[in-house]
Amino acid sequence: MTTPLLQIEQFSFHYANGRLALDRVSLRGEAGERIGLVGPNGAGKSTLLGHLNGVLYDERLMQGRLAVAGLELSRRNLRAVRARVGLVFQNPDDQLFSTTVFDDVAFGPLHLGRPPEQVRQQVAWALAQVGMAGAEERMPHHLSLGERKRVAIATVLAMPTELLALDEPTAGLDPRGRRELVALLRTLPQALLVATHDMRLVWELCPRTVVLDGGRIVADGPTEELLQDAALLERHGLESPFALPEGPVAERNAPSGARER
Amino acid sequence: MQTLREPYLAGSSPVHRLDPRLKLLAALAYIVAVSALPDGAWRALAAFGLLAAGAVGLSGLPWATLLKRTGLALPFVGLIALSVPFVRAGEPLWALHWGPLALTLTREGLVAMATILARAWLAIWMSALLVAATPLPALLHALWLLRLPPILCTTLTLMIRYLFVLAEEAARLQTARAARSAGDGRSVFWRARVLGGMVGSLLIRSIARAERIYLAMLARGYDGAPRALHGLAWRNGGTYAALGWGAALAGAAALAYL
Repeated sequence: MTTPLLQIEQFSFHYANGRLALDRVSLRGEAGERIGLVGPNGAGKSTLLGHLNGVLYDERLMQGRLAVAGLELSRRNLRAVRARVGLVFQNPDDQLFSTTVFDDVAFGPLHLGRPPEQVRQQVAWALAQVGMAGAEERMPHHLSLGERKRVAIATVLAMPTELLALDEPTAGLDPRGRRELVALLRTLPQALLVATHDMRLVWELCPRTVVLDGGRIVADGPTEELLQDAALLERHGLESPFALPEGPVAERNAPSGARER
Repeated sequence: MQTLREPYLAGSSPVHRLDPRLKLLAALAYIVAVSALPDGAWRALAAFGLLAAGAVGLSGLPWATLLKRTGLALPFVGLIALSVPFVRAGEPLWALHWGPLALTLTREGLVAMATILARAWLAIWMSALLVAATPLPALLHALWLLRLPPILCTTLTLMIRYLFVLAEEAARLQTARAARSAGDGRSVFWRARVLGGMVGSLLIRSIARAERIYLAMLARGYDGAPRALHGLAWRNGGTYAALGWGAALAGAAALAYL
């Protein structure tokens, strides 16, 4: 039997103020699998993503087990785990902290100690992957939001990642930017864990869905089944990607008794 | 909505194409040389003025824009220079008596003030030209290559990157304030209070953002050691330009002692 790419067993995490953020979470993911992570605000989605990459690592506040590609999350393995998990933050202005696109995409490979020639190649390759080839010398604040999101993804593609953890990748994008992003994510060979409120994104991209609420996994199964379970979605503050209220807008919004003039 | 703009003005002049390290050092040499001129060295100051004018002419950048930028920095220098004529000892020209206090204007003081203003203005011209003819990232690369301590380079990089984000945030807050206040008829105190609130909120947002940026850096393997990849080869033309500029600066400075 091969080791799954992602193994989380009975993983709990308290914030420093004592609040329980993740409550005995267990989750397995295979290489190349695309999983949607949905749940109301404050459910613990971003916290879970942060742990995959070890940026919230603190032994005193964690219990349980978390492993990526067979590497246990431990102080000794932090660097190796970070190289394998690409964390893409919701706001690209937090992710892109250099003055040029090149410097930003090169940051990861450089900190992995890659030689200069290889860094250059990886930057060019990663930018080509996200359709931003030739943007090396541009400054992040000159890019549109959609372009910045693409570059943010390139920053982790330039590393030898096997799992991408994306936080609200479609937030703030217009329909075209959103379509382009979904198309891009579809082409990636890496496993994806996508935390989002965008249920259509989950439907289009992720065959499997995990519902997180109050720090616990309350449902885990095929997207097709879960997203059609109206009662489940309702219970956890979500809505179906297809649900449109019945009747034309004007009729529903008209004050009663004022329908005819 | 008014947001921060970069000082760089694109162009393809010889000044634009020069190696950024060389430009940085040339501007620095000019500023040091002009600052070292003695009081009243008018001929040397004029020569330095001509050098600056020549460099601006060569860059093909608009004079009016640069002039406006130098004007922005001048009040700060002016305020300091204004006190000089009264504190420098020398031949009194005019005195103001107010009870036991006397304020005396001296000839030497006036000369010193004029020199300080001229030196400062020329130095500001050169700085304005440097940042107008060199993209900010290129200047940062130059600082790395010139062995400025990496921690300072990182600080400058982050500052430049987030200055623009911060300016946009401030502009949004200002719009939000304008949208909720009818006109500007309120008192100065009210406006000061609102401004104070805005500055505080910007500070708190910046601290929260700094934490998120740190996480983003950690996520990509940051271990506290700044690393960057820079490779710029000196071009031969650069050597001649450097020699020429050095000779011109020395010649202009020599005028002060002839």
